[in-house]
Amino acid sequence: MYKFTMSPRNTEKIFNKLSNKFDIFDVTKSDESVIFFCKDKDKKQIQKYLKFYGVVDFTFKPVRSTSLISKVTSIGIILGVVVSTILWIVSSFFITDVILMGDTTFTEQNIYDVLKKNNIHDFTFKSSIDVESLEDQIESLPYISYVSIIFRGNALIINIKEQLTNTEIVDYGNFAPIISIYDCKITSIKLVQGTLAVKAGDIVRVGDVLVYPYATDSQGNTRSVQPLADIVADVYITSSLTVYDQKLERKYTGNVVKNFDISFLGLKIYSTNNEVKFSNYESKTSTSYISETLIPIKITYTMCYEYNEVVENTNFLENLDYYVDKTRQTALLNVKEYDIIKNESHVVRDYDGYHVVEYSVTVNKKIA
Amino acid sequence: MEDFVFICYFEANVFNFFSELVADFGIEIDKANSFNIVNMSNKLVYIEGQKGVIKIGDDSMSIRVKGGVIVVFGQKLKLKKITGTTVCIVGEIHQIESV
Repeated sequence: MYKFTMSPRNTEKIFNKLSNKFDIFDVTKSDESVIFFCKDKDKKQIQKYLKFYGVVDFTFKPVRSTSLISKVTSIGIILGVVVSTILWIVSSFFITDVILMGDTTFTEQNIYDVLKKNNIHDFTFKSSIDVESLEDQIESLPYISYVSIIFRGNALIINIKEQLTNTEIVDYGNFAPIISIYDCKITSIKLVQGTLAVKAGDIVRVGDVLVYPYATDSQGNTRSVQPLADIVADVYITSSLTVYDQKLERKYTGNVVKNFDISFLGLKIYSTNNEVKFSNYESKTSTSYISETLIPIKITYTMCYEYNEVVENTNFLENLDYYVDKTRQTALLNVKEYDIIKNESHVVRDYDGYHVVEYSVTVNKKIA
Repeated sequence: MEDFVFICYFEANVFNFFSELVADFGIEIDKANSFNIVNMSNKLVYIEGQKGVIKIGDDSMSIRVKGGVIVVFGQKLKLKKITGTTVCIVGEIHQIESV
């Protein structure tokens, strides 16, 4: 719509002429001016006609349309906001996802069984979930060390920490035997209690028993005891490095294509679709919540990094010292500051197309 | 107003109020010199068959029709819409005269 303002001269005559060709709306006349409205499409023609009829002192400007379409659009927006608000409020009463976090290698299925037993699944009322009781039930499961359950948005997040399995001690009656965690050669043993399984000079492998958790008294009776001993051994700490004659090197060009998806309750509501024209690229995806509020809107970024593959010769013999030193450093990572290094050696093995550098550090240390 | 016009237009294609009245009451009208007026609760006057606006004012408006002149008296009168054959006047309508 356009609003015209002009002087109130020959008004009736002009409107009679204009009304034969155009639809004129909301005509108001005062002593100073006449105001009327017309459709957008008629604006130019009306300008011409007004000039033709000698009206020169007129002005016009566009006004906001109040057409049926705009009304419907306005109602649609309001309705959309209202419906969204209602959906948001309603959805905040439910959980839509159960997320297990932490290490659940041994316990995942058991946890899902507990959830099933408590009738917890998607679209379960949050208020019907007794978090404390659920924590107690999950914590009572085997291998569970710690559990915490929280609601985040519409997700029920179960954070699990499993018990660490002690690799050194295996159940053996009331007490566990002392077991070697190194490949080593025993140099000295001072037994406190228990029964020795090895003697000085023995070479033991990882997992071999060093001291049994029992003792035999003077009457020949065997009883369980906590095994205790000071055992010192030469431990062989090794590391190896495989070097290929040729290696495929990735060189990133710096070109990146970024796409992202926005999803609500698992439904994709918006996504970008930038085409990836790279012949070689590496993609990385990261997902996060847009806000910390109850609305579980997730945004998933996918970054595609272009790279070129370049074949490089390693020149093994030229760089042998470097590879030996690198292998040594790796081996020394497993040597503690207080360990006494008795010997160091390295071996290079050549194969077809690759070489293996093995470095060995012998340290004398207390292993029990 | 557009809604009203839209409904009238729609109605004209399926049901003409004025034609039905004429047929129902058996009145003979010369279509070449006829006009129709609808007064809706003294808030809106719709005139069909207008031949031109004689006077525009906020207390009275005069519209030439095929058979004479219609004068609308009132307050805060506004020419809501004017087309080649119809006029719609809104405001507080006190009196309508046909002269």
